[in-house]
Amino acid sequence: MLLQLRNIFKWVNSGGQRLFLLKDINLNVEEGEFISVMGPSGSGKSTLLNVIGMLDNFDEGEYEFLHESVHALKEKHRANLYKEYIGFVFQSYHLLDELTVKENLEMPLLYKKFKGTERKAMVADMLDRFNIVGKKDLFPTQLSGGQQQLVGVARALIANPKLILADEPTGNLNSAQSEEIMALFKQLNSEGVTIIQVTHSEKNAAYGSRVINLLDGRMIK
Amino acid sequence: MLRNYLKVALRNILKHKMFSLINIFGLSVSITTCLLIILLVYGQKRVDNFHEKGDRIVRVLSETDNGSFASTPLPLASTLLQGYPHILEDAVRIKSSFVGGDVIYDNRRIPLAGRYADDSFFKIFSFELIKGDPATVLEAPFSIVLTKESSEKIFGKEDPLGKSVKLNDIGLNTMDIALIPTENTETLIDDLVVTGVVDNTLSSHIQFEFLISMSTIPSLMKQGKSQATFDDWENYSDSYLYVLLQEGKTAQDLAPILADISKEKYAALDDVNISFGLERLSQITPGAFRQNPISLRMPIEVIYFLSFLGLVVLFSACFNYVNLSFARFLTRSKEVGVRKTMGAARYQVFVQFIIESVIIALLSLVVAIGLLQVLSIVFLDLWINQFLILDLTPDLMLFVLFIGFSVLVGGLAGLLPASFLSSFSPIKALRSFSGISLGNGKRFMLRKGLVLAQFCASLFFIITTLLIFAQLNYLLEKEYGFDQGNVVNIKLQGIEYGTLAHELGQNPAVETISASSFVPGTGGYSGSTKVKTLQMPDADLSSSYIGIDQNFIPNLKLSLIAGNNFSASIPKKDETMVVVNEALAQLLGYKEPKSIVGETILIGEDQSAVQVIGLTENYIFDLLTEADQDEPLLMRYLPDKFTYMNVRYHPTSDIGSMLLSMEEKWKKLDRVHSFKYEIYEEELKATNSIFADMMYVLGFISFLAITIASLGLLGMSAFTVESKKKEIGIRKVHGAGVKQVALWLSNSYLWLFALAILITIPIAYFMNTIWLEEFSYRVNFSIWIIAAGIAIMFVLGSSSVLSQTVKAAMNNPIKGLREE
Repeated sequence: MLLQLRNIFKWVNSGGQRLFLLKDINLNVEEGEFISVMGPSGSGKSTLLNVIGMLDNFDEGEYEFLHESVHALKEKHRANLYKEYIGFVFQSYHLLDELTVKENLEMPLLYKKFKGTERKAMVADMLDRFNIVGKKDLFPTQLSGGQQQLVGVARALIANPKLILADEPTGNLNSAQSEEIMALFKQLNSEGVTIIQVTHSEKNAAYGSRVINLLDGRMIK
Repeated sequence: MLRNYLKVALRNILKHKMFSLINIFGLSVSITTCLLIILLVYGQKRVDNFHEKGDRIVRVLSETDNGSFASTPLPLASTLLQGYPHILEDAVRIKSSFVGGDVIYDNRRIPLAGRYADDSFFKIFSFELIKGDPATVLEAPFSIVLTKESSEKIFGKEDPLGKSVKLNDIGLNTMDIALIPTENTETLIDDLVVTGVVDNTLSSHIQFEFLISMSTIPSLMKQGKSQATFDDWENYSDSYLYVLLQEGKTAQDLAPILADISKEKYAALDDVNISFGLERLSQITPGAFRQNPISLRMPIEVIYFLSFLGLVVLFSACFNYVNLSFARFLTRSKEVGVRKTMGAARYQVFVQFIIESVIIALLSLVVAIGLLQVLSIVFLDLWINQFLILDLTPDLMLFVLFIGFSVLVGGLAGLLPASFLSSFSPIKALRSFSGISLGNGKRFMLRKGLVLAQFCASLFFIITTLLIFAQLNYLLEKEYGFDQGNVVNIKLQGIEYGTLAHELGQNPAVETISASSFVPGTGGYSGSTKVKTLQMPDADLSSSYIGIDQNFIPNLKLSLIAGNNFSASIPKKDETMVVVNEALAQLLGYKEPKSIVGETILIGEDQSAVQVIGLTENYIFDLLTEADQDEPLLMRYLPDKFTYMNVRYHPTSDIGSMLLSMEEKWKKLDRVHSFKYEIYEEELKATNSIFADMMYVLGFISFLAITIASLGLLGMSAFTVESKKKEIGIRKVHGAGVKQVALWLSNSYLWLFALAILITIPIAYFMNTIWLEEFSYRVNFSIWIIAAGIAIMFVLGSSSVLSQTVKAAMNNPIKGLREE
């Protein structure tokens, strides 16, 4: 078991009322799964993803990640945990405009205390694997959206995470680019990486092994 | 890691050129100002740091009712040396009276100034002797040690050792100012033998062009050429005393001994009460001001004042940096979010932004060092600085200091933005930045406070500057009450006035000639005397006086209101008549000043009766800065006090050739002294050049503060605009025009501006009135100066704010509304 959510609640107080963002979420994720989270706007998909990614807190319930109780961990431990095991892919790529492709890939490694030679090897490996060696010295603005997202995925993968969280990874891409990225996810999944993606498209969801539907913060079958 | 930070920092600096330029410019001008001040202080600290025994050298001071004096009674040295050898290793006295004049060798005459000093001088201080033995150079009477420079002036390349020179002592001073010699008499000191040559290029508060052995004075006394006394305990202005403490002893060990000596010598005396203070050599420069100083230098108060000004400028630049950074960092919240999601800890983001700020500061330093070259030249040109020991040559240590300083400035300026930015939670930071609550809470208040502070400071500076300029202008255009145009003042330098007047009066360009004991308005002074009337024998009035001849009043076109001038036939001895000014008449109780004419008044300690024969209008005879409107003045006919000849020439005549022919005549009459003259109008202007200096310094500082504040404002408005992009878009989509949006955006500044006016005006009025009241002749601090200040500030402020808000208001609203 990679992670387990038990009776997760998350709410905000608005005008004296509790507004539930997540309501009684129970979810088990095994290693090697490829899960798609679906639901209309405002149903809590991104919130759920952020909770799983430990970027956001929840108000009630229990969360275990690799047998660690996340809800009981201190901020710093939690950060170490997601730093080590989780990679993020964003809808709008979130590459740093001031850094080249190579430097963008290297950036997460800087915060994980890899040595300079190690970093170089890992970056070269990634560039190779994604076939973007020729673009290593370009800046993100010089790339197409699909290429940018490719770099985004490569950056998420570079430190060998167990889990990739992708929030509408193809939301800003055209259909051909989307297919390319989804095929990549499929391949990564077959290599053993667990993936959880948020998506609006049935077609993308079909790449996954399981679909979770959310409505108003609640999981529906 | 560091490399990555540096890379991102540099790329960001290049990407946002406008922001970087404003920041680097703002920081570099203020750093320049601070560097100059560091340089000054450092230069002052370096004075006298070359003495090997420096940490054991202590100067003894005389603390009296009149203040703290740098000098002490002459006999103190021997009392100390004989009585307390276990504490004192050695002591050196330097005579405070100047010795100087033309040094004569063969037919060469070089004017030099120096001091008498004890033979221990070179044993205590580490001035490097190029020639001669430090132990003995100043031992024998009539020994003279020349500086390398003076030796070259007198002897050229000849070896000076053992040569004998003469000194025509007129008490020339060592302070680099062309003042009147301190003595009116000339003393020829024969057969001084050069015993050494000293290199005094390292800066010291002890300045001299030569030193003569103290043992020369007793010999001079025998020759009747000196009236010095070596056992006068009551005269504390005679000599400077430096003592060398035994190893391991401190000033504290010496203090009680000095207290004992003071008690023993002065307890019985009623009118003299001297206690002795101490200051270590390192405390002298920079240090507190002492009366009767051995050399002129920058008092520590001036350094404090300059440092304060520097800090004001620096703080504005830091404010500026903080404001601009906040504005721009909004666009970098995404970066923070990404970095944090990728595993960056808060401190890592924090360090990154601090490094960026430090890089900006270091880049500014590079610019600042360039600017410093220009600024220090301008600064050294200031009139006042010719009197001070200034050493602005940079060295390695200084550069380390500069870099350290810049890193500190960068760190401080980056502290607030960096801590704020690194506090973003990654999720919030990754959302579009309109979602980040930047506009509320404490930080918002803080930034509003910063803008308010900048408004206040700028307004204060503008008003103060306007007032200073008005006051200086007023003084520069102030009528003295006499006509200084077409007048040349010639220093008599001992020549009999009548003889010179007869010789020079033959020149066709000369209209009239008169004589006076000093030249009004140039800082000269003849003294003051007690004045009484027969009706008021108890009056306690002291009046300045000037010695003049019968031509002086018409020559300077003073206006004689009543009575007569001195007649041509007035007897040279036995003063019986006097002319007074209106102020004196009023102070003596004559409500109608004219009625004093014909009365008899008593002047001087001996109350000699003189008749008032004339009354003039008040005119300014003191320095303009010190002049008082109702200062009493006696104009007395005192031929033996004549020091200057006032020559009025025809306005159309060629003054150059007139002076040339006068100089030729002078040379025939006086072979020793050179012809010294001042064109009156120019001399008065030069006397007032301290005003020009003040104008420069204050003008410069205000310019910096105002510029930087405007830049800060620019940054703040850019920030407001950035954070309200969305709101602007919504308003425009719903039909708001450019004008309405721009006004709406500028509105909050209007309130801050109004608040700044309310805060600043009373402060500016109060603070400026303090110094303004020091001037007896002063400009009226009118509402117009304040209004003009507000207007200037308004124009500056609104142009920086509007430049940003109008631009934003004109943007396409869709741009502001578009989400990622």
